[in-house]
Amino acid sequence: MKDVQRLLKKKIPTPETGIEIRKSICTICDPRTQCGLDLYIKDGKIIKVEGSEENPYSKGTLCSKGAATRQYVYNEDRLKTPLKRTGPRGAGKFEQISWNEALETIAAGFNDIKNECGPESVAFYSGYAKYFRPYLKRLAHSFGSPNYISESSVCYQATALSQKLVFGRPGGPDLANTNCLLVWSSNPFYTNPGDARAILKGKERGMKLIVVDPRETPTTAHADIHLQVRPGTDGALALSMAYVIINEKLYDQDFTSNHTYGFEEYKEYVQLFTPEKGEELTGAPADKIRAAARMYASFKPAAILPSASSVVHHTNGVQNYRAIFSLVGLTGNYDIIGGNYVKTPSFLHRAAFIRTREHEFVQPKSWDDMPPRIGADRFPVWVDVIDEEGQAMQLPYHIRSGEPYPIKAVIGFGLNYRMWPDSKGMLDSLNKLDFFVNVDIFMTETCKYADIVLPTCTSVELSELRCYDLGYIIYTQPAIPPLYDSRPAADIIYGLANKLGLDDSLFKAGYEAGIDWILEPSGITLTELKKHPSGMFTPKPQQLPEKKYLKTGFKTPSGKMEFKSKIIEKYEGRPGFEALPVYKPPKFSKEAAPELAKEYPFILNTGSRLPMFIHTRTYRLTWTSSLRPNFPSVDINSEDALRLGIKQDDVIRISTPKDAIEVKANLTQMIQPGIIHMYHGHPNADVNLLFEGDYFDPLSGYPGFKAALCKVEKVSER
Amino acid sequence: MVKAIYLDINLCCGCGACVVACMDQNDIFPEKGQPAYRRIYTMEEGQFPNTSFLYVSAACLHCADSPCIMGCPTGAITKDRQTKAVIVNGDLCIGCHSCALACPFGVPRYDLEEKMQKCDLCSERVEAGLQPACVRVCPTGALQFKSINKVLGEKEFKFVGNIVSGVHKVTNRR
Amino acid sequence: MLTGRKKIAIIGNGCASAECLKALRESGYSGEIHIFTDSKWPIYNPMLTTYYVAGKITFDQLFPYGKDLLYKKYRAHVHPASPVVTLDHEEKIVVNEDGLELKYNQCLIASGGSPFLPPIEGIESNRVYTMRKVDDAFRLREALLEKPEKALVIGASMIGIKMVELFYQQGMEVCLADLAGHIFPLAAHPECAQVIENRLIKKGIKLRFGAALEKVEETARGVKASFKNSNESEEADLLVICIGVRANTDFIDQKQVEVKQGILIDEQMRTNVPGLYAAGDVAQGKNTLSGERQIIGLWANARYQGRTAGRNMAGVDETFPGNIPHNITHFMGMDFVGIGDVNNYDKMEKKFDGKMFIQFFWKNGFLIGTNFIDTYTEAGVIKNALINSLINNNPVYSHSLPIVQNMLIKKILTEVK
Repeated sequence: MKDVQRLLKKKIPTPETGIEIRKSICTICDPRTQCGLDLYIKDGKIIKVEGSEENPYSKGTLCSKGAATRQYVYNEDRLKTPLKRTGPRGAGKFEQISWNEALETIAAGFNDIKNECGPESVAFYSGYAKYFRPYLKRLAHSFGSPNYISESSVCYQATALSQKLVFGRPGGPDLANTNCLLVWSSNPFYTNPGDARAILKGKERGMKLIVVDPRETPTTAHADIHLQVRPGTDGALALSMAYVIINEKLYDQDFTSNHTYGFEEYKEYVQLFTPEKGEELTGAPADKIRAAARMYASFKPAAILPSASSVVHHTNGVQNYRAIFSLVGLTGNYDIIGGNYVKTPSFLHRAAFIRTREHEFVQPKSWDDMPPRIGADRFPVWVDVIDEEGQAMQLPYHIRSGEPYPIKAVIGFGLNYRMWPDSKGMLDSLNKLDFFVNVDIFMTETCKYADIVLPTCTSVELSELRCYDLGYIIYTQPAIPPLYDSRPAADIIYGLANKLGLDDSLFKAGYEAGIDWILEPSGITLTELKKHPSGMFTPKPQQLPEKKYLKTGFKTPSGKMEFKSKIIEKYEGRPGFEALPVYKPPKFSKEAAPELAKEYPFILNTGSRLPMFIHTRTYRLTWTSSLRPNFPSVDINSEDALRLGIKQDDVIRISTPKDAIEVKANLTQMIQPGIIHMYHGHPNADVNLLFEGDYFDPLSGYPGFKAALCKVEKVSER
Repeated sequence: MVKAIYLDINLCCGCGACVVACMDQNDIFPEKGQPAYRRIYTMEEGQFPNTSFLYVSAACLHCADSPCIMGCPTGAITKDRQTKAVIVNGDLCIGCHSCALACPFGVPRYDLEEKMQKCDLCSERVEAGLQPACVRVCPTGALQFKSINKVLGEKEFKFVGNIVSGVHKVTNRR
Repeated sequence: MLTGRKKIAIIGNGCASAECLKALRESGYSGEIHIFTDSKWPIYNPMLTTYYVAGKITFDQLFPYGKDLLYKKYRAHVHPASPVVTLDHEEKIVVNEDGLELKYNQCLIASGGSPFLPPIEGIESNRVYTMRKVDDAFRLREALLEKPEKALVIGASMIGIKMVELFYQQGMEVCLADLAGHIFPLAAHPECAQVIENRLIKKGIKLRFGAALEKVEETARGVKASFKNSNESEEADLLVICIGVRANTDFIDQKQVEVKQGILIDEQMRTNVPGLYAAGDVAQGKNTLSGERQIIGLWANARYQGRTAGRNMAGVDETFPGNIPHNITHFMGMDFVGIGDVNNYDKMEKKFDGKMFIQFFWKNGFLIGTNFIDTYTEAGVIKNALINSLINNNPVYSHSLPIVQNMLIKKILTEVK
């Protein structure tokens, strides 16, 4: 082979091969931080991807999902043009229409509903990705609807809610400086590799690591102590740790006496949770609970790394998390370097140590000037604490009941009905809408039910603003133009604002002008950012002192850290609304529902992360799915399987009182006996069918996805 | 200086980024029957609560004395003079599977045309001063591209490679 | 006579010779090297002849070491097309048919083997073919030009099955016969053989086992073979005999050099005569499984033996501890793997899912043999672990193994259990 051909085949970027590298970021999974991408471009096409070494978070690396970017971008399921439904909902029959016709049809439909029922009858939903959320939220409010809702209703918000109830302002773990890290049901090796690297670095410098997780994971493998609890018993564990810390006088008495509310009642309540009781309730051995409590309380500074959603996917999630976050205050680790340190978000929840006008941008209208949000009636604490959005989990109920006002139309950006518990119920509800628009990259199952489908594009085909907690900021440039006739989500939002005739000067000014407006207080401009295609460190980062509460107090009703919540206290008497972080076992558990457990003896845990999937986003990629052959499959403990005569890849039936699914068995010793773990959202085995729509946490409305009861039976040999 | 790919098994988390990066680099599409060059193996031992496990990302180890080269009847497998990579010349491969029986690590796979397919150490990348794609992507730093002599000098014995025998007890991990 | 100080003679021109030559030079030997061969061809691989006849490889590809690059690169004098007639190991003189005499210091015998033809009536017919040498390939290629319709293959060996495949792919009717009771009598367990035979029958291959060839007659059509104790003869256009290979030892004084089926060698490839080495299909090295010495006629085995001989001749102290019988053959859309001993076991494990077939044979707690059909992926791991286990007296699955091997072995062992 000739030299240039050889180099071309191996995709070596040189002048002779004509392969050039362009910068972008990956948002296939869109967690706290986005990994930098180097896209190898030849003749306008991406031929290879690599992590961008300039990116201070990902440092040149990628995970299996990001490494599959090329299959994601050039997937055959990509939507190519705007579509208008011609057949029955779900049949997948569409005709191509122009962007102009599509946007005008949507605008006319929304404005008709606005005139007839009020703007609140149109809901604006965001799934993944996340970059366009500020513009979508502004669109909703500018249109007059309070109903900007998102997938955060089943992900980040309940964690935020729990922390806000305790401290007013959430504090994230300062991984770089902590001496003891308590990872609570998170496995960053699969979800946030940057955090995993920070953990490995910490271990090298002698940091202690405690991990709470029902499973064995790469994170637990590095732990000094692994507390292997049963799903949904986290609160009992935290209270039991508090028992040890309080009774052994390992707590921060200065902090508890001067900066907390309800400590005495909390102290009294935790007396119920001896480590032996803790063992009984959680399954973690009493000695390990003691050792973990001592370690966490003695190695200062100590930090807790929570996960976005695993602890809150329980019917007792918020109370459990309050019990966990109470430990931060109890040990005086709140808002200190190396502890759970409070940073002011700059944009999209990330702190780049710059001031922005994000809040002003996304909330053009006050909540008080709009009708109540979706879920407001059922979840008053949400309304009290969560500033961003309505509770999207209540969307199907709201559509069906029409109370307190009808929902007539939904525009979804990446809406997937299988995200909801009782996913079929959600689909039925969508079908009751007068008008359903879905914007997506791919022709998804949900798109088939939409009246209008709009094609959007991936992160590498657009420009977006992102901030990183490391004081880094990026405004990406498209590495390739949007494929086919797709458009960036933000373009669609701005186009819609125009067609809706909104009297909104920021929408009229355009996308980039809006970003400049948001960034104005920081002194950073897009002109400057565009000179740094892979991003830049923020000049003159704001300095943040420790213990900011000493000056400002806590942003809670009492002005203190609250062991006992004054907000929840307002609603005391409602089931589940206890002001102390009271522990109750999951609603469907052996402890809470012994009769049910006789027929349904297994604990069903869903959505615990696998390294190659993020929700349903990479199912269609053969590169990632080849890493887990025979998917969809459910993880079952090998001993349980042996007992039930189940072998690897046999088909088994999982049933709950609600429904049943059939799926292949994957035998493993990395999960506990008596628990099965199933990843969610797969069209061939949708585990969310097994959940009732009202199996939720009364405080947050979060479904109990991570602990229900089920039955396992063998169906057939592989 | 000859370099080789090493795996720190204490750092490998089985995420598969290396497998995908390799497929992206080498245009391997499983749906077309093209086999992966790199694979993830999981080893589990014990029973709850005393379990231990280990992940290994493995591809051709480019053995110093490669049994596949000796086993190949056609001379299709050779060693690259510069990078010391074991390279397959698809034009000469007859798909007889002799290399599969020769390889102690279960590396050889065959495409639909019965040509043996395996890792080529990203030799062209290496010659261009780049790292092999799998090493470049690895999010935990488990895969490393290092000089053979340097690895031999490492105090702690934690690599699976072509010159070390890779002895490791799974139970050592925890 | 060629005399002088340092001279090495290599008798034979196969891969063992080539590896010996390479090893000598790479280990620093700088004297003369003379290669004696009866062949006029460069070093070829007998196994490739069927591929050449089938048109799967070009003529040049028969010669994996290239045409004469190797001799030039490693500075060898080649004396082709003239068989060695005398080897006087006392005087250390080798003489070929052309009368060339060489006084050597050390000598490697790597004269290989020849197809065995049973001494029966009619065997000399020109409708009878063998398949090992380049000329065999030429003959059969020519025969195929006449568009024969039916072939009879005697010998259900690895070569036999490749012949069956070749004829099958030509669209010919094929009958495969063997004295043994089943296919691959040495490498396959009867149960494994049964699975393969069923698949062959499904493809229309006629099988005749327990059939001892008695007589070959030429007929108008081609050739007719009769079998002992059978009235049913087999008529075909051509007949191929692949019942084994005999070591080429005619020129050796067996009173002085220890020879059984082949020349007996030790772990350094030395014969009982000082300065005289043997390697390849003519040599009888150690079978690590039985502990006996046995010809293990495999390409890789010959290369390792040749290399070991060369290194030792150059003064490098190296041993090749032996080998076990092992075969992988990929034919007619299947893979068959036979490793070690599949007969003398005390425990057998089996797994068969309709397609993939795995058998493990154990004795005294040691894995001694395996059969695989349609799963080659762990074959090499098992083979190497098995040899390792025998050499070190360890169980086949042991923590002393490299981790990847350990995992793969555990995986497949548990799968079958």
